[in-house]
Amino acid sequence: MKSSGRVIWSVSQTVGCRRIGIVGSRHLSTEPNIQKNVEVGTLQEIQMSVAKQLNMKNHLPSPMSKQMETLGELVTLIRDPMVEIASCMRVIDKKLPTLRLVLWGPFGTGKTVTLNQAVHHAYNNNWAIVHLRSAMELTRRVKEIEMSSFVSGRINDPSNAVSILQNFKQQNQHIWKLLGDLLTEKDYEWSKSERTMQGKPITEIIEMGITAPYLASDCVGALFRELRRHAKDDKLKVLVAVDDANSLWGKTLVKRADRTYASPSDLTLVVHFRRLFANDWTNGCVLMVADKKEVSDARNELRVSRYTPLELFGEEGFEYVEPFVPIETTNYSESETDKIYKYYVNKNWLASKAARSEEGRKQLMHLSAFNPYYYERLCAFN
Amino acid sequence: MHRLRLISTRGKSTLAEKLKSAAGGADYGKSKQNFASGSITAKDERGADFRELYVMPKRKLRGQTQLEQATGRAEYKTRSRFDIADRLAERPPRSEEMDPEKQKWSDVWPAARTFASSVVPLPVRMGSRPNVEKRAPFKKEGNLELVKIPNFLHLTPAAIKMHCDAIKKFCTPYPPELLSKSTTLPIQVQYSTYIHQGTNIRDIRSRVVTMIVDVESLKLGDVAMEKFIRLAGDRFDEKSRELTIVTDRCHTRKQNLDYAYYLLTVLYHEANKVEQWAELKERSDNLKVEFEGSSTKTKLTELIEKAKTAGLATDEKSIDEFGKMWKEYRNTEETVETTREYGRQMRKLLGI
Repeated sequence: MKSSGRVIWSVSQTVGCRRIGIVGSRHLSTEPNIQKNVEVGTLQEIQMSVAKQLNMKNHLPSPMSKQMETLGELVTLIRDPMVEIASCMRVIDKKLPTLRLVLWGPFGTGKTVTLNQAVHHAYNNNWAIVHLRSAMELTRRVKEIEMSSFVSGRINDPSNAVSILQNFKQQNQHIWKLLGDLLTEKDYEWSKSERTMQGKPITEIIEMGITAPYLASDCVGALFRELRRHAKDDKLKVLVAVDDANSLWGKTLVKRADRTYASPSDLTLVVHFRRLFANDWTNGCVLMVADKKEVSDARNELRVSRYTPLELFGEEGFEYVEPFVPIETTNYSESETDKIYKYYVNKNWLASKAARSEEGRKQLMHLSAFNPYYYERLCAFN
Repeated sequence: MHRLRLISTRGKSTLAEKLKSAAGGADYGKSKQNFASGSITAKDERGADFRELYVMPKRKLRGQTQLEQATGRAEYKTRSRFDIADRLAERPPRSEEMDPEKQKWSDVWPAARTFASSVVPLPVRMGSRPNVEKRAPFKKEGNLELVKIPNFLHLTPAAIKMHCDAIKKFCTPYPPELLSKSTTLPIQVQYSTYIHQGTNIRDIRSRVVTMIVDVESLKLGDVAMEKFIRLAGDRFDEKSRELTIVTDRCHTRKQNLDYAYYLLTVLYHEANKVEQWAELKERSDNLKVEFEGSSTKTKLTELIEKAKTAGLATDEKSIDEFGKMWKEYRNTEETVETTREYGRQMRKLLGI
């Protein structure tokens, strides 16, 4: 068992991903085409080094990221939405406009986890990754603002812009060389002294933004523009993964000089991300999460907000992102809970005798009402 | 103190003497007299008075008489009650006298009246007791609760039938046009008539008229229909396509009915008018979100064109079907099912 595991480990190093069978014996498909290695119902392990590069610790939901640290590994269950996303990503072509996918579903059913799995899938296929932890950060967690010098009336957000660029740099280390070969289309004059000339690698734009925060918002726009252009030219494929994407059409907490709230379309970063959602470019996939945290009020206990895309994106946002393919995330089926249960038992994460019994297995399943979030929470305390 | 004085005064009276002798009987009085006259030695040799020994009273005790009565040694006359004559003079309740099978109830109770326990031959009970299992609710006799509530004892099926038979000669046959259910007439008028006991035969509520109009039979054009719906506001029910006008502002029903017809006429002619400013209407002013001319449709047709060149198996014909679904999705309340249907149609359209 141990020796065979070692062999598999060495093979999997080359691919950067392992899949785990139900009983815990880890096996790997030997198919050369990585595109196809997404199978429903398998436990997929994302290597810790890869998880670190993809900044999973920040991007995953906090209980999941804590579990990752505790168990020392990141194992997720491949479910139907992920398979569908993988099959959609397979059809992406340079002639085809960007395919837009919206993940929707009730609380705790794995929208964010599926998004991270998709990011990992893009990593495996050497795609460029534009991953935003939460669009809500751009509208509601704006620490400092600057008025844009590029378009009057726009509000720049240097700190978020820098973190977007840094995150992009960290997540795209696997294709950093390729990005270095891609050249800029035109001269960018950031300020009187700083400029990026035509024909320079686009990584320079990123470095420029990271070193000079007051230019970062414009650099994000330029980077996205170059990415779109190069994707059109079939130099690379781009995955845009935005969590809580409906917040780009939500409310903001940014105040203008006259103390009114700015609309989201006044925020530079929001505008840049919206442009990524437009279908005027090809060879890319835009994966959005529609999350009800934008509309629900934690202090209003009576209102039950809907989690369906039209309700969350609003008419304006909905018409902007249309046509898209809605992908629903659902609660676990019984077999899926069993897989997770067996994994936890094998990892001794479920330690108590009661939890490891047949009775305990059923109780965990039904107490959580098959909701993945609550199932994980229950398993963490048994 | 008072009582003692009374006794003492009685002791002197002649009436007291008489009563004493009556209670003691003739002998008692005689022995007394004998004592007084000295025929019986009432004193012994020492000159002390003779005092009779009291063993028991000189009459039969109640226990004794009861015992005798029980064993049958003594016969006792049963005496009728002192007010037997008064009681016999009173008539028993009518409900006990009547034979329910032979009696015609509508004669006994011809019209509405308050409950009378003596008349109604029903063992009804009413009222609340704390413990109904132990003690049943109060009987009908002297029961005020039964008197308070309205009753319909004059409206027995037999009585109603009798009434109907009596007024049948005034009825006309039901219009044969209305007998077949398939013909729904375009205008329905509803009103209520109120009859109740009281000094006034009028009721303020009877003036209200409700008119329900089948809007489809007005045969309005698309533009006129939209204007009609906007003018009618919440009086128009989109599901049943019916307009409901309720008029109650005039004093009489006839005036209100006329007013309802007037409103309908005005609404119809106003809807058919086209004003100059109506041409300024934009797409966003539509009552419903239309698929035709929407940005979604243009984007979709473009996408399908490009997808065809990319080699995806797109289904062009299903765009009409998608449009129908899209319109319904956008114009009705969004549910999980409609979103799933949206996804299904979208996948079919894109050939994923």
